[in-house]
Amino acid sequence: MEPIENVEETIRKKLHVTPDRTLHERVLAQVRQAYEHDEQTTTARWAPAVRRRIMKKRITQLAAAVLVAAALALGIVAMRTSTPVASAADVFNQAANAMSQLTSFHVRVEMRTPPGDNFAVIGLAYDFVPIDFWRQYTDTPPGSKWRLEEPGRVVVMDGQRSTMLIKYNNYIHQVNDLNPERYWKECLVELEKVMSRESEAATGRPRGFTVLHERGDDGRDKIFVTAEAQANIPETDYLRNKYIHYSDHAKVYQFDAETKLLEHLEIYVHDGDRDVLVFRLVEAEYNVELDAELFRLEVPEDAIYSIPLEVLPDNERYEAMTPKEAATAFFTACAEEDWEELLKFMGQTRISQRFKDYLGGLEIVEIGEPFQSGDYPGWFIPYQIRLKSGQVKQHNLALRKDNQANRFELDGGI
Amino acid sequence: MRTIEDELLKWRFQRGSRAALARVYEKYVHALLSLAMGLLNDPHAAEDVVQDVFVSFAQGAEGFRLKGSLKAYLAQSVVNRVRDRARRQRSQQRRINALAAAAGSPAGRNGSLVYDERCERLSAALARLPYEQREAVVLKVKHEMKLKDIARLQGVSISTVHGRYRYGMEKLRALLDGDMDHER
Repeated sequence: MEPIENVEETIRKKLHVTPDRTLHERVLAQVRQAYEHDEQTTTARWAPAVRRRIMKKRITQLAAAVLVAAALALGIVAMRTSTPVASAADVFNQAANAMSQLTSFHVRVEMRTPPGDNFAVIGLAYDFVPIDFWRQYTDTPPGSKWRLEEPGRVVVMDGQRSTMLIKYNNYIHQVNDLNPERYWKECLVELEKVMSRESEAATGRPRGFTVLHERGDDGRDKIFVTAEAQANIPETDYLRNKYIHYSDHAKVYQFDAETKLLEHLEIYVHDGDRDVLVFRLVEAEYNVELDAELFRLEVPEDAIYSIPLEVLPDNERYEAMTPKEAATAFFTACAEEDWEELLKFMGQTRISQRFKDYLGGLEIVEIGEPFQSGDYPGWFIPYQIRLKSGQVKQHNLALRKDNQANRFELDGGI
Repeated sequence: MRTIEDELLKWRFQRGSRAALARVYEKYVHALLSLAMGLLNDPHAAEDVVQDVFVSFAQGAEGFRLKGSLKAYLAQSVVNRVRDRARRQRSQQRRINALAAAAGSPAGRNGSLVYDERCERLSAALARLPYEQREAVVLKVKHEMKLKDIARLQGVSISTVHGRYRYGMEKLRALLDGDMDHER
């Protein structure tokens, strides 16, 4: 006789009924009709002013929905106390103070981003990728060490300099800039600064923030704050919804009411009629002992190092290039497998074999008209190429010129 | 389990979002049809029940207030309608069993539902369980409902539901085993 578990599995897998298209259409038509009828009667029933007030601002709806949703999903119940509710600015101020007392912390978030990208780019259709940040505060300058890591990329600041390793091609980028926000400004690396910035924003724009006091499943009091923000670029802009700050979004913070420490954060991007969760804080540990090894980075022997573009003997020729000409020259070098020429567009010690295998011998199908987007200082150049494998790739090459050699340099889009 | 997506859907649906209604339908129609089929062993009746559930859900947007899980709410709506069908014919217990027995072999694949032969046989085997056992089995296994929630829905203690579930599974195992022996 079959074990019970097998019978359960059979029910789970085999008791499966799918509606065909005709049923879908029939049910949906009836549902729509029922809904429209209800909507008409509802409109008549509601006081228009109330409806207008509630429906006036989409982002407010979103923020409120997110707040309620987060509270309910976390299983919290309303506190029965009459504690006066602090303003959002106060809550963030208190949180900033609490976080300035930390000796160390570790946060793990999940973000919809490519696993090896730059810690900031998002995509509403991407899967969630885990990102960890560890920070150890020290008594000696510069005051801390930190490590920021996602599956394809890691940055370590050992107290003297920060070193980034892109794992798939062993690319190393070292800078003297010790500030982790260089890599991950929007999120949680400078907790105290994030809270202070939100406090300033809440002071200047209090209507964009809501505060809710609740009691959590763990019996402790919580404070929820939603912060709503709108993108500062047009809806049709290329960078729209590719970074959190280029999206209409709502952030939902959850703080422990007593310690004022951040416990959860969710960020929803509002895209048309959808609210897409793009970022969630899944773990926050404060004042924990961190392994010293976290703040050391083993550099691979065959690493490729980033270097500043040098001024060439014939630099003027490159300086004079338009973005389109530079993109064409870049892909032509790939097509001809002229890696020395290609390096003139890439500030690094050599080209990786992986890069050569991927782009070597390509065929240019089309180079489009360059455009600019958001506050990105460079240009995006649409292109279509046929790779050696036969695959046709269409994307936008990102080139920027704000370097000491004053010529275009690859900044992404491959 | 309450998910953030469902809580947002509830909130938006209540405030008149058609997209939220469409998403609720898209997300749960398969699960509810499977549930109804497991309880009724009649594809036409399952269709009617699920259609009723969604039409009623759509009609109730304005007054919709739900603190608990959307998934459990919809499952309960299906269960209530299945029971109502029986209640209309006097005895709930007799009628549902009769419905299932009368269905014998489900109406087949000429209706609007698509399912395979194994589902048909499983549904027929479920129909041979006493209704309360069938409900406990389908809700727990297929709809991942907790025993305490099923107990609340059936208006009995958790231990009673546990007993119904256990006896139901034993009997179903025997029925399916016989079915498989027969196949061999």
